[in-house]
Amino acid sequence: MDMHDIDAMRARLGAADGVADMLAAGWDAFELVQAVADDYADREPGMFAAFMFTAASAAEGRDAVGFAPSMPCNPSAPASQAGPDAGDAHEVAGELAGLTSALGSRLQAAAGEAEDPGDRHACQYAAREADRIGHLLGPDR
Amino acid sequence: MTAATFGDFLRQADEHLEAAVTSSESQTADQVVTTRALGRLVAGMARCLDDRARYDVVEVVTRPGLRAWDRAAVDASAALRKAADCLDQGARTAEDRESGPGDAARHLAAAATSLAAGRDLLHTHLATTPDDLWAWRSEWAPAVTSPPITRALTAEVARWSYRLAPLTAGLASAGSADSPASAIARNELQVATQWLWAADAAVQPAQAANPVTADDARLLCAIPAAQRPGRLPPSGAESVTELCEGIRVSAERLRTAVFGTAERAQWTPAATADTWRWTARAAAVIGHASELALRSLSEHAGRGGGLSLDRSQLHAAADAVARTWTAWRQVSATWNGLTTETRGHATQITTEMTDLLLRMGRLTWDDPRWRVPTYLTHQNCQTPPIAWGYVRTSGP
Repeated sequence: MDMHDIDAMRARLGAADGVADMLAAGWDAFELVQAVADDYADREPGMFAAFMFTAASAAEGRDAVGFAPSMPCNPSAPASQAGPDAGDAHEVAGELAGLTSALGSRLQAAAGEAEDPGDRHACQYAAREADRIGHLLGPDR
Repeated sequence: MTAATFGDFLRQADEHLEAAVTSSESQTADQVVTTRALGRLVAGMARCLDDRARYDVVEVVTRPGLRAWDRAAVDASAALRKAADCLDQGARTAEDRESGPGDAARHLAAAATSLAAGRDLLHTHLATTPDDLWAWRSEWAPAVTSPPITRALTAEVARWSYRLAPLTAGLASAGSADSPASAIARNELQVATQWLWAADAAVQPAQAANPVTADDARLLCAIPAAQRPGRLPPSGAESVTELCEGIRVSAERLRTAVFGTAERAQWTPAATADTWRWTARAAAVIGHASELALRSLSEHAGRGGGLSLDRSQLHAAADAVARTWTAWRQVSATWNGLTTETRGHATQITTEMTDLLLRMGRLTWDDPRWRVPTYLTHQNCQTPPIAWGYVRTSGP
């Protein structure tokens, strides 16, 4: 994983069309956040707690979209681990905060579009987890 | 105020027992009242021994591998129950002088009460399963059910039996033989005396083979009541002393809370993937903060300032904590790939973990504003399951 993966995911979120596509993109985004957070937890002692709970919230968000009735059946391949030169912990935290901010907004929008109450609830639940990650990793953490 | 120990109640009971047996009024005391009090004490002694070795007399005879002190406890208990029955019968048939309880009766009653309170203290560490076995409910439970405690308590009860036998014989001779009822009462008391001697004799083989040690007796007296301190919710600005006290309280509450969770885990709705995931993460973060704090302390050890700490021990403690939180991190990684149908249940453990996590972070980073995501602060516990649950793994 490098910063390009985060940028690519941000672009994918922006291009997601419809509730099902957004759920699938959300799943992949949360998986990416979880993988990166797990990998970066050890790189900066002061960020350990933030990254550990980021990974927990990312798993929650992923599970939320996973339970949505309109979630497509074929999940993507898991996110790869970060390499040694993928950036320092604070930079990555900032990037992830930006990604989850975008993710939260798109999920809230999808919740507004969803006709199925199950989809609506899943998107709202997942959006809360995305917001929580933003608080954990954002500039005022 | 320190917690009461079994030794406190044992000493009280022993003092009352000595006062009763050395009382000079035994010849004039009301036989009925004194016999009843004595019977209550002896019955309590039998119950204490019943807790030690939960076998009946048939099992004692047929079970080849029974430990000497377990056998002694069963035999002594059987003898004491016989004595208690005789004392009860004696009290029913003796002539009531209606002179009220004398000193001996009062001391015997007080000894019985102290012994019962001590037995209740021991039971705060244990619970009884549906199979009539002991289930541990505290860190002291292994000690409470250990062979040293069986030795020490059985020997103490036998010593009391030895002390009470002459008192019982004195009560028997104090009663008049004018009426058939009085004769029966005298006979019952004489038989009770024999059973009290028998209770003492029952432990002699075990005492010879495996004597009670001073350490056994000290351990028995040291057993405290199982207590769970009240929760100390974190406040905005706590001093280092208050943070440390809060950490101590949360840790003790967590140690108490985990007893019994294995039985509950299979059915409780609180056993959800998000609960387990969060708890594992919190444990890893707490351990990580603890390691940092210990390594920081080890750097300052030996530099004076009134702090007498062994640097090598602090290093070893930090290393042990590091292994622990690494293991918790592996647990949390495993839970990342699992989910459960029910979600969103705050538990007593997640509450305590939150308190502990908050204080460890604020202490380690010396930052009163250090915060963590409190578990389920925004969760709606009434939220129905989104879909039927499934368990699957993601990733390799």
